[in-house]
Amino acid sequence: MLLASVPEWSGAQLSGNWGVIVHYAVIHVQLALAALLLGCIGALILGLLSFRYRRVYAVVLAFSNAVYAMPSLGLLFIIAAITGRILDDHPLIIALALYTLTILVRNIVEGLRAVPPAVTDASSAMGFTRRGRLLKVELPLAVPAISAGLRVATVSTISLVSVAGIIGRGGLGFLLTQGFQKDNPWEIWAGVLATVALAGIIDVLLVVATRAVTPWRRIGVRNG
Amino acid sequence: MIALEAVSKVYPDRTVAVESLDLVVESATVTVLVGPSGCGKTTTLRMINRMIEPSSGRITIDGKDIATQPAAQLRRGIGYVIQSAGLFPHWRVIDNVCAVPDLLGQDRKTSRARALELLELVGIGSEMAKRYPAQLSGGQQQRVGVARALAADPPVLLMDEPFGAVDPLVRTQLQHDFLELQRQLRKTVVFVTHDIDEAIILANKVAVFGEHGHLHQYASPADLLAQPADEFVNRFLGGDRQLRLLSLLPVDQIPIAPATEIKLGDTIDAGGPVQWTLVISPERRPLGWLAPGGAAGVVSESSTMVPVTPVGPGSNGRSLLDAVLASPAATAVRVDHEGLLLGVVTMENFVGHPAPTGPR
Repeated sequence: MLLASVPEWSGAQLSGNWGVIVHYAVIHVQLALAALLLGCIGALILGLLSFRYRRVYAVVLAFSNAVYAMPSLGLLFIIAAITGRILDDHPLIIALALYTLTILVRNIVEGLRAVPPAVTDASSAMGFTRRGRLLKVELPLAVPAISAGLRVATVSTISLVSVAGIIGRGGLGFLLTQGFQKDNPWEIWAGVLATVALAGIIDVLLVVATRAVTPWRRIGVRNG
Repeated sequence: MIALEAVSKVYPDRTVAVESLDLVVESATVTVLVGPSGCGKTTTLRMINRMIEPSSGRITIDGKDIATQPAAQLRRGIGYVIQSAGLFPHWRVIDNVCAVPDLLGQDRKTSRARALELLELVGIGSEMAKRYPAQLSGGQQQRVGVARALAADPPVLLMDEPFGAVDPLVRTQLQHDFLELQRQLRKTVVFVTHDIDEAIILANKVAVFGEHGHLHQYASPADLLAQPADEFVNRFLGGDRQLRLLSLLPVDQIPIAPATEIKLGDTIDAGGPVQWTLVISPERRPLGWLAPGGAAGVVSESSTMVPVTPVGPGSNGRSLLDAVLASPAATAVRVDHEGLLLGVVTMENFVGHPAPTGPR
């Protein structure tokens, strides 16, 4: 991405700047989705390993707590130092993916563990293989818990992408940093509100998707 | 036939769950494993489908060693019902029932059609097939659990306290329906319970377990009640063995006597009946008792009678005794299939029944 092609906010008003907002919003979403996808894959792998091996979970928990305790900006620089590429998006995506992973892995493991023992027991007794049980019984039943974690991870990732504006990266964060530099409240507010709106939209999409794949949770009646 | 030969289960912490158990379960019979909690009965059950691997010994089903086939494959040929049903909450009732046929790769359409029949058989209407388990009562879930275990038509059925979590009324109904089902399907059933009454109602043979899976007695319910093998079994059976034995005794095994009877329209001499007299209709249907010292004259339907509750065929000795105790005449009235009088039974007819009284 060449600096010359970056659209600039002009004037102390909203009109005429919608294109700028959309431009950064698209970049913002792309970065967030890349990080979320990477984080989900990582969390799923580590989550399944942790579910099966108790010791792995202890290590994963210690690691994720450490990552979560680290200030986001600091983490970004550490990863940039490791990958040696502060000037492209990779360190940012990896850092954000790590946050997603630490949030999500816990929910995956707890969600899988919350499957009633009678259900796991019955599935084994019916002749499900370990893998069949995981794919057809345990993971589907853990969807609500995983989805809850994913919602938190998504919202936090979208807001964290803005922080990356400070190091001259990221999407809607640009509007914040540049707005502050130019002392332009219109640009700052546009950045803030657009970020919130994005988070809101994606959260709603997630809720709808979760409801669609968990029809059994929508039923009202409990044991009569 | 299921055969356990010198089967033991010892856990790594050296806890002995089952010690050198020999047990043969005949085909098409119900064998109930009963005993106090922690006696190894559930462990024994779960070794049959390899949910628990024995530490030593051999288990065969129809002569085939179960250890020689992959566990998952073995289990698809053995129905399994557990206490809390263990239905998949995210699957509809019909899909729950088809779990094993689907695992076996059977045609979906065929298995769904068969599942509807099975649900009908266990008393679940087809309108419930599309519901999720949470929309059913505990008893209904348990019925679906039974249908699921039967879906692939396995010859062997393992049941681990299947009726333990439902209220007594529902449990009685489920037990009754299970017996009816077994009459039709004739599966080889191994059933675990801690409830000796349930064992006696359901079993062809009862295996009484003590500590560490020690088998104290393996016998038919009647033999068990008549001759407990040792003090442990005796205590486990409780104090009212004779009454329970009576409940296993068909009514027609208890001798009847002719009744002091009078037909509608007949006349009672002055002074009224001298003893309790049974009024019967012209076709010999019992109508009620005339008390001794009652009114004289022609007996009609409007005469003062104490109502009678006749005992029909298919009832058991315990119900008959109950009818004797409940009657003001201290006499139970026996009728045939059509409700016509056969005779009467008093306490004296019970003397000598049930005959064997055990070691003490």
